[in-house]
Amino acid sequence: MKKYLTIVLALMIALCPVAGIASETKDDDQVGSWLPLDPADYTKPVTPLPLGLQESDPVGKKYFNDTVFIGDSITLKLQRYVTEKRNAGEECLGRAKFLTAGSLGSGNALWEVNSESVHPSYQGEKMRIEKAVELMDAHKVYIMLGMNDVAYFGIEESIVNMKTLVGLILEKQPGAEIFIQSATPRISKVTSRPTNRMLFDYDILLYNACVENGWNFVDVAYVMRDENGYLFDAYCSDPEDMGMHFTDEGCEAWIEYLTTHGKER
Amino acid sequence: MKRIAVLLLAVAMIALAGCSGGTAKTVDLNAVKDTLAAQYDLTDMMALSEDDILDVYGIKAEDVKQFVALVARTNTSADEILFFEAVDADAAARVKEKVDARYQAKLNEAKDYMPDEYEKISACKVETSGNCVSLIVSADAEAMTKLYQDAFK
Repeated sequence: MKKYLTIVLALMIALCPVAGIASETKDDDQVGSWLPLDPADYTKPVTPLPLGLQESDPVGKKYFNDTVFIGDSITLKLQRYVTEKRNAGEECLGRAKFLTAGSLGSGNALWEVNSESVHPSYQGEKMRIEKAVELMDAHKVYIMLGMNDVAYFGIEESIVNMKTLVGLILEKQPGAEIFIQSATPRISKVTSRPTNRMLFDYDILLYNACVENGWNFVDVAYVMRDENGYLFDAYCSDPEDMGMHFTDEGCEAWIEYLTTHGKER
Repeated sequence: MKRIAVLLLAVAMIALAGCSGGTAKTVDLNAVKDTLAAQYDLTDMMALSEDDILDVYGIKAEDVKQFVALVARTNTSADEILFFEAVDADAAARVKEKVDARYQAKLNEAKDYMPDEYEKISACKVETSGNCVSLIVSADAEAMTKLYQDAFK
């Protein structure tokens, strides 16, 4: 009997994300019927299925041409990887642009721009993210932030800050489609904050926020986690230090996930 | 006649002024980079293109006669080598402003989470010589800067 209940519970948890995905495609008046996920339901920091956008055929070559990727040092590595590929003559994420800065978070992105702030630069000028998105005229906005938020602001406030940031972006660029990427994990031997568990819990609540607000959730972290929820060692470029940044192999997995978890209009 | 001579002298001085700040020597910045690469391991660095220097630094191609822009392939290293020769003094001022901004951004971004890199950046500086602007961020910045400067002698 106990085994039967465990199986039923596991199935329910596994199907929760699917229910959330279904609600995104329903009419607005049905979104409210969706039940948010609870991080406490997950013993390990792993989900049985990716949350949010599910696997699809690879997106078309032009899909990322109107895209901006916003992020911290994690995304900065993706930017460098993509830049190197493009400069070698290879096609890589179309003509997608990047807005990255080390130490950037959804919290400090809301601060005023000054000489010591860590806002990213657009064409050499440091500016608020929403202004840069407007100047870029980006139609798809992919955001991965949280690594510099969760330990400092806490999970709940980090979610609030992300909602505020997205709201500001949509005020400046009303037609933009928002794609929130899950914050990626850290390797097992790193125990400093933000811990892997904190990042996972943040991702679950971030997913809930996406469903509630009609934003797309792209669960990049899903493909970066081993069976215990830690970043695969092969994907980590700084195992002796922060244990969170990516190797080229990690970037390849990231790009593969993005291209097979898109949303064609 | 004297006025014309002064004018001609001034024109000649402007024409001769290049990266060396007054001497006539023209320096191939890519050759300087090759000299550095022969003595230091730059294999973990990648070159940026003309499009990249607009996106990353805001430096317009029309302001630049030649350039070398190398950044670390990994995001956990602050290493960066920038050599720009601007087309004229006004352009050099614009390039200097952008490279200064880049330097400050690197400091800000490294300050809270990469203390070692922050120290490395702090020990480096943006330099101007004639119409050339340079920034070398590296553990070997001092020796590399000397090689760069020697190229103009």
